[in-house]
Amino acid sequence: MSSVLEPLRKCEGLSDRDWAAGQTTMVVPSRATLVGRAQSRSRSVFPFLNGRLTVESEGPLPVWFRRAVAALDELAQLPTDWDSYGAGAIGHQSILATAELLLGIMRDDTPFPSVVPTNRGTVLLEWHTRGVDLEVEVRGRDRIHASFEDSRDGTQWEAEIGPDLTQLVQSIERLSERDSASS
Amino acid sequence: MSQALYKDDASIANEASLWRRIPPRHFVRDDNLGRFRPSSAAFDDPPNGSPMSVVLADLVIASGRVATDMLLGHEGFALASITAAIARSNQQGVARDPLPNEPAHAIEFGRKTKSVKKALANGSEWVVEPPGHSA
Repeated sequence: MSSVLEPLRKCEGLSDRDWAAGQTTMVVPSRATLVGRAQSRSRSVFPFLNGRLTVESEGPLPVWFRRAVAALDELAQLPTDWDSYGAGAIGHQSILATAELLLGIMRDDTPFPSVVPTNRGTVLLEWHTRGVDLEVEVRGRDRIHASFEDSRDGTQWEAEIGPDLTQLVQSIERLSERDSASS
Repeated sequence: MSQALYKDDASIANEASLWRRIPPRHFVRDDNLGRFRPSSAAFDDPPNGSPMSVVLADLVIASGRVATDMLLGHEGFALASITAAIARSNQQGVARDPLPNEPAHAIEFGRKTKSVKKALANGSEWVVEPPGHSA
């Protein structure tokens, strides 16, 4: 699985200064290409941060990605103190890292998570479904904190996660493959 | 002020309800529970390092106000409640911290790890439900 995820590390490193320009490009190889099936290169453009997010991928982007970009764009627009308790604005690096992470871990059959801002300016992804509670806080690229609980078998873990997303990918697989009626 | 300098106030009973505003961005769907509930992110200290704010429900009510008064000026917000017992069972302390504009203001102090924030969220109940998110 790490070989599938490794290409994501090649995405452009963007600073907040880059984002200020409102034009952002991500280059994302598709999974289909990584397993050896030839795909034509596609380019998708999304409105984002008062500019555009251009995603270059080999093969089509997953259908949920547009929804993810829209959700992240909404978080990026939040003013300071959006929670009435002094919350900071959401950091652009956390937002971009979240988009990259989702492309790295989500499957087409994965339920879409709640995309939640934190008062520390990071993005929290939450899945509470199919008997699983999975929360993933994205602080930046390779700076992830995740916690997982499966009420069916009592599995629990909490971890700081760096470049190796294996544990997270396995948890997403478990969630995705579970029958939604068997919570 | 360092949170280590605060002391738990024993005059706040374990049964005391602590109310906290929940912003719309922190309403999350929990299909395991079959309802919307606050995100764990709603129960964190602010980024300036001060402790998490709450109000003491008893003092609010004693002043002739009601729960919805806590949401004035905060359209779309909901109000959640946790008991002091839930806070204390998660290594948090509770102390009065009256403010000029809110005499019922209190603080819940202590290190808020991910598991603590989740426990507070899971132990919370709606006092004023999220508008349009009742099911």
